This record gives sequence, structure tokens and C-alpha cells, in this order.
Amino acid sequence: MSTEVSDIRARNRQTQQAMEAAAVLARIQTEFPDNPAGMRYFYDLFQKTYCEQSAPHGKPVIGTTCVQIPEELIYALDAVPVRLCNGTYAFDQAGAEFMPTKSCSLVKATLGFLNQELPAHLQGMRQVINATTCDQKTKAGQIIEQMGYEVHHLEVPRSKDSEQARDYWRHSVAQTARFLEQATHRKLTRRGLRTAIGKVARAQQAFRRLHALRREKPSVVYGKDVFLITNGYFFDDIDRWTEALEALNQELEERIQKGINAAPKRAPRILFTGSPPVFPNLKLPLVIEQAGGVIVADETCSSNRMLYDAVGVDEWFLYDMVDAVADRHLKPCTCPIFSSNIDRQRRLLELARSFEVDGVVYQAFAGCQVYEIEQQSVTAALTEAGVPSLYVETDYSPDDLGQLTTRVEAFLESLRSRRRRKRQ
Amino acid sequence: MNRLRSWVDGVDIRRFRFWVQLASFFILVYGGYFYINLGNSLPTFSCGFNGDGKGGICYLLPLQHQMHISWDALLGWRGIALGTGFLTFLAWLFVLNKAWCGYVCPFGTIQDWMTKLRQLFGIRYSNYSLETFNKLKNVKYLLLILLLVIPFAMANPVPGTGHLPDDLATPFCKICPARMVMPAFTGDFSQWTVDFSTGTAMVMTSLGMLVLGIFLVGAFFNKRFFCFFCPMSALHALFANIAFLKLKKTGEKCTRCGDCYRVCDMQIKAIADDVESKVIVKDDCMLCLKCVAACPEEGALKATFLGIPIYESTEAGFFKRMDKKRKEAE
Amino acid sequence: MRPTRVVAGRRARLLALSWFGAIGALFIPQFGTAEPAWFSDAPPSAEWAKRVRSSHGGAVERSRAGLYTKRLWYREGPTPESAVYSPDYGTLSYDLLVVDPTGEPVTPTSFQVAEGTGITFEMPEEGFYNAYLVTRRVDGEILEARVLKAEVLKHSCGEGHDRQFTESRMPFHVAHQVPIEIVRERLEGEDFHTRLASGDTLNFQVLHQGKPAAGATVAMTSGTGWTRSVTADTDGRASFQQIRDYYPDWNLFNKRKSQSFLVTAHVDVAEAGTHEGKRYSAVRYSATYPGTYYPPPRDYQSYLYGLIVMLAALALTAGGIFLYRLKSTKPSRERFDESA
Repeated sequence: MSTEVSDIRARNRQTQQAMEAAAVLARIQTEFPDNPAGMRYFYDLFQKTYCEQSAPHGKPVIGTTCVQIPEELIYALDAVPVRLCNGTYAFDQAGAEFMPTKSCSLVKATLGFLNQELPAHLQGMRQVINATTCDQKTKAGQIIEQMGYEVHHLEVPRSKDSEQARDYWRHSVAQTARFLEQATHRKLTRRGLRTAIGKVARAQQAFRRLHALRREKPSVVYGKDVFLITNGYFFDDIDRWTEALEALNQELEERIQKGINAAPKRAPRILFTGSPPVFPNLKLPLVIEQAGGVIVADETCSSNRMLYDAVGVDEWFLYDMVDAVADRHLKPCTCPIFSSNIDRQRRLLELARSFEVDGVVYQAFAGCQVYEIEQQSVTAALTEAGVPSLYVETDYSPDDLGQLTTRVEAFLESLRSRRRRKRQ
Repeated sequence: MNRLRSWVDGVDIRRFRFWVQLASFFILVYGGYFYINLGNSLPTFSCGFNGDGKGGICYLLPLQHQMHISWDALLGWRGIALGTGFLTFLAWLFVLNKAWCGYVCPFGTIQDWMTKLRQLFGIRYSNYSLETFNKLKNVKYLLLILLLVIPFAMANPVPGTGHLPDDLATPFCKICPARMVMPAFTGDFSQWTVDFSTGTAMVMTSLGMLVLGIFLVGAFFNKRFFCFFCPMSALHALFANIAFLKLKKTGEKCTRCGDCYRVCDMQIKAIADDVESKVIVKDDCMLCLKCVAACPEEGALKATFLGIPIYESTEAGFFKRMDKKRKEAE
Repeated sequence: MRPTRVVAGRRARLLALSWFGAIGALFIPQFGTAEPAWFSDAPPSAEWAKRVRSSHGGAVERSRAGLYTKRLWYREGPTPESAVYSPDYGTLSYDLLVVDPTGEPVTPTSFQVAEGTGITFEMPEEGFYNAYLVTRRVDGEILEARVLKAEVLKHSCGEGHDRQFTESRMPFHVAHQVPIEIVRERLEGEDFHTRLASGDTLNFQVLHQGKPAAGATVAMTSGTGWTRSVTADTDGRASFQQIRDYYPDWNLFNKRKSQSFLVTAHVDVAEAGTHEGKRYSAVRYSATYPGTYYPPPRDYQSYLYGLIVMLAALALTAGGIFLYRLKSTKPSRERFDESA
């Protein structure tokens, strides 16, 4: 293939991504009435980043491929972490070049995205930290390396409960800190890490406030907006992002006071879990909410799992802060790659209880084995607790949209009639 | 009421604890000069070897004395003395439970100060591995059994066997580093000696000085180094679940993020991992409530007194404290 | 009682015939019974020893209810260790007085058994009981007025250690009913647990008819018979540094070795009168005060060895942690048992 042809194809893909993004943004904004004014910032953010040319960060950019990569360390070295997980169907197709057909769309899309000229906000990104979590991400590391990036393989234990795992992981994180020092030509300092932990904590606090607001009945915010916000955390300037979210929270609280709600009173409350919705692949969340449901909580690594659990430091020295950051990225993690998914089940049940959800939608990307495997045990746990659930196996292709809509509508209807039965 | 509660839950527990500890230290180490006397059944290391300054006496000292009791005397007045001493101890214990260790114990406070000293130098703390920890934590029960059995065996020699040497009386005090450390705070170093009067005394006092040496280093590197081995803690543990002050956990709310375990000076892993127990005062716990302060989940951990919540984990409190501590570190 | 004048100067020396001191003077025939007498709580036989147990105030008999009873034996002899348990007080004319720590009189019970004679009294109160036996008899021209005093401590740890209370019970009491009395001034910081030890300086005051007996002859006799005699100063005070007279081999050394001491004092007064029909022209007032002391801790405790042991442990622990930390920066290696 000549370079010219591949250039044209790459440009085509970027155009395709812009088109996909514009279509989703349009649906998000126009098909739902009365979006909060505070969402404007996020709509514009995605418009700029995906459809237009956004400004570069102006700081060294470190690519990451997983929530388990401690962003605090990257911020501490005055670099910017950008999560590379991609949700574009065009890149999913392009990535098929590197992975078997029956692989996870997200991994393929990420590879497809990296294998072309980077957009403006990622200009100059040379280093990627790849976590050895599931098989596909682990193997993707080497492929990214072959694309010419300097890849640090962050070794993740496949079990998280033992002290060996904790020890091993702490070593891994320490190694990553060393890697980042080399990559940024800076030294990790107490002040730097302290500030970074503070920054992330503030963002988490804002997220948690939003999370708590979603408990409100009737719902004050749609899940599609929340996914958009948390997707923004992947690449946006963290301080700007936090301020925008704080402003939105303020607005939502005012809306609660005024009695303005987003979804209709009777809208079935959905807990979303499984493979992460990554913009512009908000296919399933949008189907749910357009069919009259409202996603009030989620348990995915593009949202809740990324931002919920906080770093707890005992002694504000590097020796304890680095360990604290490491602990926060392993122990509470509910990723299905771990040997036990008890914590994931517990968290789902607690979210279902405290958010008074009517049902759970479980998304598994075709080829994402770990979520597919866990489906059984999670569904069993939910059934035992009396929470109905819908298991959806899908990917980035728009082909199954019709079939999905039918299934989701049927599920929502069953939830409504269940609620009616309960009331009687 | 709600504002008061949220104020309490947002409180900086370390500072509160620092002042309570300081006040308790003063009362128990120097209170005697002001004629404060809280009796001799205190469930905390207010060392009886500290001269006029002591504001009360660690129950282990009279307990060992009182255990020097023959079978037939058990039913006599000495048995009654043993019983009333124990009931007084229980009454004290029931009020604060293991918070005697975390908030009152002057010997524990000294160790916390040594931890602060280490932090001044920015030296990393030491931890035990989980296996070592699980073995070491049994030492305190062994010490408790020995300190009860040895005096009793001295008073009730088995016919045909020899008498235990007199210098084994109060065997635990002989090897307890508080015997040297606490009187030193009132300028009395007379315990920092090896007693050559008999072989037994020589061995026991040498052991004492040996333990002191290990303690001085150990407590510098390891938070609450001695408390893992403290037989008082073992004695507390027998009643920890029925005392008035309790640490409770709501397992469903716990995300097992492990922040509580991270900050635990006593390395109690169950505080993070156990989501079944409702009352979670483990045998090594000192009810310092650092875990409650470090828990970001609303109401996952709480301290209750006679069932009334007095300090509860809150999200707002967590972030407030972390922010404050971070800024203090500037 | 008529006011008396303490005989001082040349006259006193004449009467006292210097020392031999109080004890020695009693050997001189014209002064009647030669040897000093005092109260001792040491049981006279193994049989009696079984009835007592040791307490902070010495040997006591204890009832099942926990009440302490003191038994004091009348002893006579030149040195505390060689003294005998006398079957009687040597005279029928005597007064007994026991005062409890609050200053209230207590009625003692006299006893006379094959092994000896003496008194017993119950000690419900914490603190110092003062027991006095006053005997008078005329020997030749001289009236011997002897006051045997025993200051015995009652302390049970079961009663607690309230410092304010303890301090309130520490000052000595003076019995104005007795003609002569030796009081021991308390040591600095003395409490119910204090043991007098070799090397301690003990301060005594001799009171004659309730007033300081300036110039009284005061002597200290250790258990083995070592004696030192001094003349009381104008306040009736005399000081002795306790000697060490316990030198066993190391393996026989007993740090709880209780040793006796005896303080005697006497004042001679030219005072005429009759007693039980006998005339006298001078009175010798003599007092005894027995006590116990122990080897001092400095005899058997070593700071140096203590510090050596402590510092060695400290260095080893610190070194161990240092090495462990050095090692633990390298990746850990699992160890396998190769012996299987």
C-alpha cells in the first residue's frame, strides 16, 4: 500500500470519526428535551475534540489504556494523562488489521486510532502506558510498540486480594513512576504528587456529588450526559473539567429545588454495567434512554470505576503516597480480569439497592471474554437479590441497532409491568 | 442536631486524639503530683513503677500480685480482693473499650510520638508481612496466660516439684518496657538496671533491658510496635465485643477500597476485607478511629456508644480531612 | 508529772560513765538490769513463724477476714540478733499504750506463752501504730524508767495507694503519756513501701517529757552488734548512717534480707522519790526503738550492665532493620526447602 493511499484512508477515518461523533452529539442534544445549561461545556468539548481541531495540551502527554494506570503519578510529573480507549466504529474496523476478528471493539478501535496521525490535542505524545489486564489489552501493548510508541507495560496482578498481589502491584507502580521520571525528564517530588492527589481528589469529589445527585427520584440527569462527562475526563484538562462539573452539579441541585427533572417520573431506573461505553459509542445507553428508561447509576470503567474510589494517605511522604495511589488503583477495582468478582457483585447489589434501580443492563462487547464469562455469576447474584437484568452482547457496529431497540424496549416494558404488579 | 452531627463527623480525628492523648498522658504520668488517683485497676499502661507522679495503676501489676493466691485463699478475702479488682477493671474497660489503648494509654501515646519523630525525618515505616503478623499477634495471649499462671503456680507449688523463685513475681512487669520508660518521664531511671541479686532476677531484668532496647528501635520504625504484644490488649480483647463503645461496620456500603487498612496503625486487614461482621473491634484494635476518618463511604464505619452513633464515616468528612492533611503537609 | 530537768554537763557524764553507751551502761551493776529490752515482731520459733506472713509492715497475723494483727515479743539482749525472748517484763509494774495511726488509743492484749511474752493488737487502720511498754523499777538508788517503743507500719496494697492519704499518715506521732520517746523522722519521699537500707541516713529525735532531750545519749546498734553512740544536739536530734554489715557470697545473697537495728537513748536526771516503797535519788529514763533495714539496691543493681544489654539490643535491632531494608529493595525470592 502506498503512503498516499494510506494517508487518504486515514483522513477518511478521521472524517468518519467526526461524522460518528457529530451524529451522537446531535442525538444527545436534540432528542432529549431541556438539557441542563451546564452540559454545554461538555457538548462543546466533544464537538471541538472530535469534530474540529482542539488546542494541544502544551504539556507532555502520556497515553494510557486503562483505569488502573495511576493518573496521579502522571499529573505529579506535570504531564497529562490521556486515556486512549476509543469508541469509534471506523477505528474499530481499521484495528481489525491487528487483532483477530472476534476481538473486543474497544481494543481494536484503540489500535486503529493509534495507527494514524494523532489529533491536535495529542500532538507529541510519544509514550503509552499499557496495563497488562485482559489478554487483548496485554497483547495490544506490543502492537502499539510496533507502531513506534514507547510503551511501558504496567504489570497488573490477576488476583487482588492477597498481600503478594498488593506487593507486586506496588512494585509495578513504583516502576511506572521511574518510567515516567525518565519519560518526562523530571523527578517525582512530594509537592508534585501531593498536588496531583489533590487535583484528582477534587475531580472525584465533583464526580461523587454528581453520583449522589443521581439517587434523586425522579432523575435529575440522564445517563447519556453522565457518560459524556466522564468520557471527557479521559482527555480534558482536569481542572477545567472539574470546574465545569461543579457548575453543573450546582445547576442540578437548583433544578432539584425547583422540581425540574430530566426523565419522566415513571421512567424505569437502570443500572448500567459491563463493557464501557466510550464516546462516540454511546449506542446502548442512548437506546435505553430513548426507549424511556433512565440510567441512574453505572458500574463501568469509563465512569464510576474510574472516578469513584479515593486515595487515602496516612503519611504525606512519597513512600506512603505512591503506595496509597497504588492501593487505590488495585484493591477497590472491580475489573472482571481478577480471579474473584465478589466485589463487583457486591457493588452492583449495593448500587441497585441505594439507587432504587428497577433493572440492570449488562453490556458485553463481543470478544470481551472476561465480561462474557462473568455474566453468569453476576446475573445469578442479581436474580437472587430480585433485580431483573438484561444481558446485551454487542459491538461498535450500528447493524444491531434495530434488534437492540426491540430487546431494550421489551425489557423496559417488563420492568414497568413488574413495578405495576408490585404496587398492587 | 444534624449540623452538630455533620460537624462531629467532619472533625479532624488526629488532632482531637492528640489532645486527648496529651491530657491523658499528663493525668496518668504526672497526675499523682496533683493527688489524682484513679485507683489500681486501670485498663491501661499507667505504670505502677512510676513513683509519686502516677495518676493510677495499670491493672496488670495488682493482677499479678493478686494471682499469687493459694487455692484455699480464693474463697477468702484475697479472693474477694481479686474479684473486686477485676470488676473495677471491667467497669473501667466497659466505658472506653479499646479506646483505652488508642486515646488514653500513655505508653501508646509515647509510641505515637515516636512515630511523629520518624515522620520528622521522613523515614519510611516498617510493616510486618501478613504471615508474620498473624503469628506475632498470638504472643500477647501467651504473655497474658503466663502472667496469670506464673504467680498462681508460685502460690500453689505442685508437691514434689520445687518452688518457683520469688523473683518471678510480677513476671510481666519485669520484661515490660513501660517499667523503664514511664518512670523515666518523672526523672526516675532506677528501673534501667540489671538486678544481680539472684539468677532469676538477673535473667528477668536483663530480658527487660533487652526488650527496652528492641522497643526503642521497634517503636521508631513500626507504628505501635509494642501493642501487638501487649497482654493488656489481649485482656481487653476478651470483652471488646460487649463493651459500651463499639466500632461497627455496614458491610454493604464497603467498597473494600482498603483506605481504612492503609491507615491502620495495627495493620488490621479485616477492617477492609470483612464485610460480614457488624461489630468489628478486632483483638489488635485500639479504637483510634483513624479508619472511620479514612473511610469515604457514608456510614460504612461508625463508632457507637451504647448503640448511639458518635462518630461516623462520611464522604464530606473524608475529603475535608484529606484536603486538610494535604495542605498541612505543604 | 512534775517537770524535770535534764542533767547536762559534768554531772551527766558522771552518771553516764561515757559509753559503752546506753546499752553498756546498763551492765554497770549499780544501774540494775544490764541489757536493753525492746519489742520485736520476729516470731521466736518455727511454730510461731507459721502463724505469720510478711507484709509491708513486717510480720503480721492475718484473719480470714483480712484483718491484720501485730504480735510484738518482749526481747532483751545486747544485740538484736542474739537477744532472747524473755518470759516476763522483769517487773510487775508496767504500763501499756498503743496508739493507732489516727492518734486514737488501742487496747492491746497481753500474752504470756512458753516461748515468751508480749502484746498483740489489731491493725485495721493504714499507717503507723505506736506501741509503748513503760516499766519502772528501783535498783539501788536509781529508778529505771524504760520505754520500749515499737513503731509498726500497717499497709496492705489492697487498701490502695492514695497519695494524699498516705502523706497524711506519714508524720510520726508523739505520745505525751510516756516520759521518754525516740521518734524516727521520715526519709525524703518516704511512703508505705519504703524500705530503710544500708547507706540511708536515719534521723532520730529524743523527746523527754514531750520536749527535745538535748544532750541525751543515743546509740545505734546493728543486727550483728556494731554500735555507734552520739550525743543528741540541742534539738534532741541524732543521725546515723546505716552501715552495711551483710556480706554473703553472691549465691547466698538475699536482697530481701531483713536486718534489725536498735536505737537506744537515755537521759539521767537527779530526781528523788519513792517507787513501790523504795527510795531513789536519780532516775534513768531510757528508750528503745527497733527497726529493720535491707540491702540497698545499689548493692545488687547495675546501670552499666543494664545499659550494655539495652544498647546491644538496640544496635542489633537497628542493624537488622537496616539490613532488611537494604535487602528488600531487591526483588524477593521465594525460598524452598531443599532438605526434603
